[in-house]
Amino acid sequence: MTLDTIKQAVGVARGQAESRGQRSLGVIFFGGEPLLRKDLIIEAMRYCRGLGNGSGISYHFKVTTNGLLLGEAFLSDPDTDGLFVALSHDGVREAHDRHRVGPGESGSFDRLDATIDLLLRHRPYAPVMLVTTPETVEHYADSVEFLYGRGFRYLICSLNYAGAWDERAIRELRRQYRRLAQWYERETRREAKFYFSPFEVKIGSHIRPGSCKSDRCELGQRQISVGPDGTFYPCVQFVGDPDYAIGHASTGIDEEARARLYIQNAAEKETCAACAIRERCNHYCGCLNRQATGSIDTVSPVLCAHERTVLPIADRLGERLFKRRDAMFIQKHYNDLFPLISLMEDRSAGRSQ
Amino acid sequence: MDTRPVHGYRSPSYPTQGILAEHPELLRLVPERWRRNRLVLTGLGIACSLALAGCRMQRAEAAEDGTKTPAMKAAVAPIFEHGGGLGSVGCVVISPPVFLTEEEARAVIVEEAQAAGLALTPGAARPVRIEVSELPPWFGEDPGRPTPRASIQLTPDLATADGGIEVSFVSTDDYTEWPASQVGASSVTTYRTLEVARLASEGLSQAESKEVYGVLYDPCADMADVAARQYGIDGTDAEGVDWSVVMGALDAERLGFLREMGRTADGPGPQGHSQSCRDALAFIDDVKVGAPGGQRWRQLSKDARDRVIDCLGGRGARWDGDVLKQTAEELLREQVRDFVAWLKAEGIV
Repeated sequence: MTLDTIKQAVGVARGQAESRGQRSLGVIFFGGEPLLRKDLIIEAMRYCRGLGNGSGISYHFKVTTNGLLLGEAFLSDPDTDGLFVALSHDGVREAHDRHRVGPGESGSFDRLDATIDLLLRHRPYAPVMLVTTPETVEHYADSVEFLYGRGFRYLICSLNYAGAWDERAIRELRRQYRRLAQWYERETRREAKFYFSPFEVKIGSHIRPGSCKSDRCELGQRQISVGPDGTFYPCVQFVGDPDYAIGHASTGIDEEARARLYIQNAAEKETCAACAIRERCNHYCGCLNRQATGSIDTVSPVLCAHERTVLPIADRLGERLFKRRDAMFIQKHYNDLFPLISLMEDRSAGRSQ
Repeated sequence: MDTRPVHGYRSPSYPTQGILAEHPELLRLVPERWRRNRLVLTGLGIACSLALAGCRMQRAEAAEDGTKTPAMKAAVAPIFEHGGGLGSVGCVVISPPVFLTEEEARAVIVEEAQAAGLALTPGAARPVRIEVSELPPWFGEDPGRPTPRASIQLTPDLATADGGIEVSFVSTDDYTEWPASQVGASSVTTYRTLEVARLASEGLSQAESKEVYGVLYDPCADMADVAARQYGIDGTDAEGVDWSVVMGALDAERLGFLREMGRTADGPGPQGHSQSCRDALAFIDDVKVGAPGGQRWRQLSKDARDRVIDCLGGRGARWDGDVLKQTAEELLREQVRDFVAWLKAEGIV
């Protein structure tokens, strides 16, 4: 990707934001491995900040990295100040090195040991992105606890829905979620502040009905992905597939293509119409469905199994914590000002981003 | 692997955010780590004020459109559920619960409240007239039939000396006296003290009164409660044993006559009972059929299997009246402790 492509894409996004009256625009760098082009990231951030001055639109930035090129210089560079850095890490050595291997087939677990400390020192709120596969599911709970023990407080966990999941692996997943429920309850009762996405999203989907649908990206409506050549796609999962192109940085958004994909994705799936938990299920995510089945219309059976597995466990957890009137649970899930109050607490304690 | 729609899912019992409209005081439950931080308490105070203002605005809007402006409504604590509050005796019930007398319950409540710094006295409460829903029949309920209402005079059992805080205990006697126009005939008597507590709480919340009310109830402790405490059972464990199903199995054992009488596990009953009964019966069948049919059974470790056997038919399920009484009192104490904690969170004490 070139800086010119970035400038064009930002211009299109800015036009969209202005037409909707939005005052904030997010720029997310993804890959491959985005830190292979640190220079381009910094140039892009400088450019956007220059645009932002006096324009009424503020820009925020995020990058997801495997961490191998993350260093002190980049994190302490004034130009990267405010860049939200998420680390892809799959947990304990047995899980992480199973799939994240470099040349010579050696895993990156050891190399990331110091990187974790470095990242959290500069970005204490940095999230970690953990992906579980059928081959690593037996390490799921250990991996979450390991990363939590290392200091991550935002644990964004997902499955590789395209993996070779079978009934045995799903049973193991259930077992792992039950262990994680115990961990979640224990830490909540200790009044720890953390975010474990599988449970937070499911509990939130009951406490705020409709949030499962409204919080998603809505396939190109609220977020556009830009390929290296400037082609627009509704999500990173589609980059490179011309069937899902919805415009180009040089010509703008193809509204017809975007609307067609959105409508196609938003239509209720026949397999899910009669499901009692469909309003709280992630089957709306066309990207995940395509990842696993090749089509945004076809719900992934693995996704279905995951939702059916995690939902009752999360709900029993929520019930136990509410029954106890656990104060941290209630504040986190019922108080809309919780993020702000939490930040106030951290600031007053001297913890900063 | 195929997609499998879920047919029937019990709505979780923790509330939606809408509860703040009726109980904005929920946000006053503050983590200890925030109590020590003045800045945080200030921010939290703003959040609570906004929630309360929203609640008042809703009431004001209701008044503006011509509905009756409510006078000061009583503050009523949530029901703190410790103990199922559901117990059957008679006929072929083989493991009945133990109930607390009014005197026993009052003694426990007074003692536990005193320990938490709240002095309650029997006879100090004032009667209050409230509108309540009748108790619906447990079986044969017609979902389309509106629930009849009744006007009753409720005299709480205990109160503070100034009468500002009043506590009611729903005993089995209170249950039998609760308005119910539909009376079924059965050789089994089922006491639903938790259900009555909820109805009383609902009625009190509409009373025009300056008092603060707490409603406690007879936990109807049974061997499932004993087993849960004896074996440290709470929810599910790392072995994959779903103890809620095991506890359901104990219920199913005691209610085994349902199957004998030809009723299916899909029959009507208290919310969630049908599903848990069905699960529990399936689990028993799983266990009793043995290895070929018991997939879940095979997955368990020996330790977990021993615990399940204990609960279903061994040591854990042996009826012991003294232990049951002790358990009932402890469950009631937990209700009192939560009530006092709520009073403190509310700033009432």
